Amino acid sequence: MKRRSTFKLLSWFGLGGLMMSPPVHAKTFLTTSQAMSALGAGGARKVSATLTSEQAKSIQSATGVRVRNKTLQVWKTGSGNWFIVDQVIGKHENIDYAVLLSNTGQVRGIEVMVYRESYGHEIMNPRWKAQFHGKGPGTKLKLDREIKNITGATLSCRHITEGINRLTETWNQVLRYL
Amino acid sequence: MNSISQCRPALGTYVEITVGGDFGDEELLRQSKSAFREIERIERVMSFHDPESELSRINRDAHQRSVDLSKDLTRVLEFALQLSRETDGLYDLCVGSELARKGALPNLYPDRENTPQSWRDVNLSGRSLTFRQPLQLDLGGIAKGYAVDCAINQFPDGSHVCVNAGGDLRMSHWESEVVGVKTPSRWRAGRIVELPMERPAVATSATYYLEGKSVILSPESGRPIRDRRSVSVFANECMIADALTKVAFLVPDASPIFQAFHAKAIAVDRKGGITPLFPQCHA
Repeated sequence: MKRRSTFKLLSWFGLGGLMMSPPVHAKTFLTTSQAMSALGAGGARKVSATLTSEQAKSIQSATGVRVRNKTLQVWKTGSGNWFIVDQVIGKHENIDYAVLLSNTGQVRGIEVMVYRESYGHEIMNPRWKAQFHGKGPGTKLKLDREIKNITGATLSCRHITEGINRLTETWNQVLRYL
Repeated sequence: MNSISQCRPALGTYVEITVGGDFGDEELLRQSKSAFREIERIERVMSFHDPESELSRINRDAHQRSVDLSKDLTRVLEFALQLSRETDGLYDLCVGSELARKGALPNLYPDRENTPQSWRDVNLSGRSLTFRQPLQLDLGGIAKGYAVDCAINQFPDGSHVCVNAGGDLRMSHWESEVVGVKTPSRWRAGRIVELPMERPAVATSATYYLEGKSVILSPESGRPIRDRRSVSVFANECMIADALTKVAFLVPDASPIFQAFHAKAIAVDRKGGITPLFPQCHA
């Protein structure tokens, strides 16, 4: 926390005038309807469902995962399965995903729909960018163009696991009765 | 050409598959889903966390009796043992017990004695495996790459495919492609440096993995190694790239190994500086 605010302060002084939000690498995978058909939930019907504050609190305490959004985006299939679109927010990433729960609340499949990841502020600083000019053929910094494939130390999928726990508990407390 | 990208959580990370071809969405999704099924199959074989995986079975039984291995596990273990031999044990799959004691992996056998273990205790003959003492092999630094290779082999010849399992990636048409390398940063999201793909596959490792607790252990001290750089390895197969990232950290002169596997290692530091590591040029 402290580190982050120090960094913000530094950026006010050091990179004055460059206070843009960090660039976000967003990758879009499936649309809602593609995810629906990929998970075998084609033709599911939208159900309007909103958690009460009590339900949100109860799901939160059962899973230890914060409930950020009380409005659920849920579809029910003919066989009683639930197709759910949800979002998880991590320190650096923000993911829209869809999950299919069976009529007994079991996870049948997960599809990431949009994956957004933010990178450091420095990439926006022209002076910082400038030091890479002339680094040799093929070795250039990502500037404006989208990079399709990214390698780096493996990201854990912990946040989505937490999101799934929250959704199965939401099924257990709410959706199964709808 | 139509193309579709699909991403699912698998292998403990996010796996992205992009496939292109002269087909409709439905056919591309079908191909991509069959590749995901292959990844899930490899995960079931090689997971350290799943007590029912084939890997868990050999960790439980192979010190008591000889165990017949699947083709997949045979291939991965043969390659890993070859690396152990060529690095004189600096690369060693027997790190599982040590990682379990450190809490980086679940400790399934807390009662087992804490005796020194090494790849020399592994006896693989054809598809038959025995351990000379109780061991816990961990395929954490190699199975992901192998799963990517298996997934890409699911596609028909000529498909335009990229499979990316949390940074272990392989492309069918890689010659003029680039890859973005995240610079190592423990505190915040990194920056991106672009490198040309030099081989069909690339993998990157860094010691800041797991919130700063490295899971690459020094064979000399048994302690996590610290290096501020990340290492990306380009190779013809993703399994080779994945395993050689550890070799690049652990082996002082890994040039002969990189030459033998036609692989290249490149280090990226926190400021985005790029240094070719292996093979070193002796011109």
